[in-house]
Amino acid sequence: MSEGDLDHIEQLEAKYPDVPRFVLLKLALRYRGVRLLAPATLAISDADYNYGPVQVFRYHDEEALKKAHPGPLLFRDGTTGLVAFEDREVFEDPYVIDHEGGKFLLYSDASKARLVDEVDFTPRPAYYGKRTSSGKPMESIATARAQRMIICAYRHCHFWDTGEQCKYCAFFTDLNETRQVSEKKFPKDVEAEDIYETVREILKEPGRVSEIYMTAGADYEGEPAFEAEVDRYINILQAIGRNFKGRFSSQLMAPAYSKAQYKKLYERTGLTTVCPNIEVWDERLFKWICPGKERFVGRAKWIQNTVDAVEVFGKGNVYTQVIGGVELAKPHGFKTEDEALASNFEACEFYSKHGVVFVSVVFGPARSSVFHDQKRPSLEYFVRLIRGLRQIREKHGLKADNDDYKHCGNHADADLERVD
Amino acid sequence: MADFPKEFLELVSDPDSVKMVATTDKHGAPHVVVKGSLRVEGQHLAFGEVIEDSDSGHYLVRSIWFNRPVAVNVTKGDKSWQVKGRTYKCLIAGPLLKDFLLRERAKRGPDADLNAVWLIEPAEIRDESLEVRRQSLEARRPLFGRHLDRASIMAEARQLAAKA
Amino acid sequence: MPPLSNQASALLADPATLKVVVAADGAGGARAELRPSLRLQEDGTLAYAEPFEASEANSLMLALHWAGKAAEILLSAPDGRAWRITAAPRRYLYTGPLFQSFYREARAEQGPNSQVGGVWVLEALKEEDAGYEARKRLEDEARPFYRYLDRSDVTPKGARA
Repeated sequence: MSEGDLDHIEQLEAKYPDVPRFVLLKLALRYRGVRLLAPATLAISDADYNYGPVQVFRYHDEEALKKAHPGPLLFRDGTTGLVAFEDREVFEDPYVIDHEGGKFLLYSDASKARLVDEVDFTPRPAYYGKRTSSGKPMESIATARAQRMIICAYRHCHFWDTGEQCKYCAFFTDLNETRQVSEKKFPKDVEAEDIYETVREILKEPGRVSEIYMTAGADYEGEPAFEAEVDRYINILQAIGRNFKGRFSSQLMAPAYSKAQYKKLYERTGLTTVCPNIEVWDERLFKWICPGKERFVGRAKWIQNTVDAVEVFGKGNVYTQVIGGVELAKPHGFKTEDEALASNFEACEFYSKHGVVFVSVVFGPARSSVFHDQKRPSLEYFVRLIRGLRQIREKHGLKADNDDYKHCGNHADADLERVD
Repeated sequence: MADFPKEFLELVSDPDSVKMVATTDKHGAPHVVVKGSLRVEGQHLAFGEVIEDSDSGHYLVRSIWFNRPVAVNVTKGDKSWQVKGRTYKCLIAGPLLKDFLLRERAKRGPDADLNAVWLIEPAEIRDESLEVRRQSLEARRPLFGRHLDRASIMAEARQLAAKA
Repeated sequence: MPPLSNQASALLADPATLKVVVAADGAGGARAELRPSLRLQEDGTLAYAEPFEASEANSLMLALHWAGKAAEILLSAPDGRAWRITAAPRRYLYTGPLFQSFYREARAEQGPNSQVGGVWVLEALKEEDAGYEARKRLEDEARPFYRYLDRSDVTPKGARA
């Protein structure tokens, strides 16, 4: 038995009967990776499935653009799985997906010794393949998940300019080198009008979207810091808002702005939730792992600003996330999983008390990140983590609707709330 | 997986038949909803779940997560079929969801919503029409529970008396 | 529990209302039956005729009764009104005036060979509006992020107007 294989899943199922197999598999696939066998790749080339590799966070060269690439994985129960393929990380013994009898089938490993389950992929949205009036492919403006459209407003993070990027981050790289792609290849700016047109097109497909999600690379220019970025978001959100009658389901993942900046955003746009990610709770580790965030905001202010945002957006409409597992990174991380869990639960308790929804993702050591050679903790660590976070949130009457199985698919702790 | 009998298919596709889906909560308490949208989709039964945060939605998730059975009942007048099965799939995107959503909007207007489409894999399909059940029960237990003033019994009693 | 609401009473009195009674089967499943005979009694209890003494439905209701557990009743009208009642089986009658009343009703509707195994009397414990509009309104207010953005009336409230 090895971490995240089928025997291990069955053991965890027995030990944690309140965690369904689908959620365990979702974690395991994130952990061990997935390889598509040739028949599956061929099936994904089909117009119904082929998302292509273009995403808002990542540069793809000419060769990559020729390959078929699926959208997010869907388990039979509707759980979304944001699986990592081998272009992003190195996997020793991934699960494999084949295509037989008209179905995608998940197997335990390359030998196909054990069939795990039937799976599916999110169908390609109707707006993919269309272009804005300025000629931009719409899928380069918005990436689709099952029910969420992700828009990246600015494709460069200035923390990288001085080597102060978050150490797990691979945004705007080509997944091979630990640097962001040049502006010539991957233009930074995204026009508000292109975004407006893309959202308008998305809405033509009935029932395709119930949330607009926006983020960007960090741009700390302006006085106070990040003011230029705030103005950029306002401009874009107002453009998106032309498609709606009023406020619309939306989340902004961005730095922890001041209360005045949040008020400006709330009052001038249709934005409904914000998500300033703390990434890692421990003070010492935050400084080490997120040096840019520490320099331009600072941990204490980050936390305070997040709590202040609740006064603007309301209880349950401010989110924050940790990169689960990164708190154990060597050499400075926690030495034991118990210590790491305690830190995360302390954070969740704190935030929940203040009306902030605290969620987790599974750390993935991306090839082009500083942490590319770090190891993850055990799969059981993540099972214990998601159970604990869900219980704490439930105690405080909070639910992660914005980041649930339909909208994000990256938060297994949110998946567990489906039966609450 | 059970095949669908012709009579069942006819009853399901009758717009006037009543279609119900029964599940249980985490304590085993039962719950039923009327699902007018229920129909046959290939080897499965499919229906739309309108409300994400509904009891039936939660219980359907429980049923697929923890392998609990689901029951479907289709009835019109004295005709009735019971299907016992398991939840096979929950669709949150794709052509089938779109189809159910458009039908829901045609029925309730452009502000109608649909959270998911559920597929049920039948394990057992039984004709439970009144007459079928009566005959089956009476064949198993002919003397049990039959009131003696029933027309069929009274006729038999007279025949027995005539022979004696 | 106080008397059933006017809405529930009206639905029970309407012959066009679908009356469904569902009982758990003890193995994680449930069984639903249409019970057109279900009615509200003068004393506020609910009663319906069970045609078959040896049926699975009857056994399940008896099991609930013995365990002190509740069944669920769904009332669904053609105009979209719906009401849900949680009700505990309290008595099973196979003789007496109430039983006779249901027995004669079955004869009138189904002919001289009709059968009534017994009559279940239930006590309502809880009720709620299960209609589409009420549920949609509740969900739109409580969980605005589930609304498809192409809905004609999309203005999610969030926590602030």
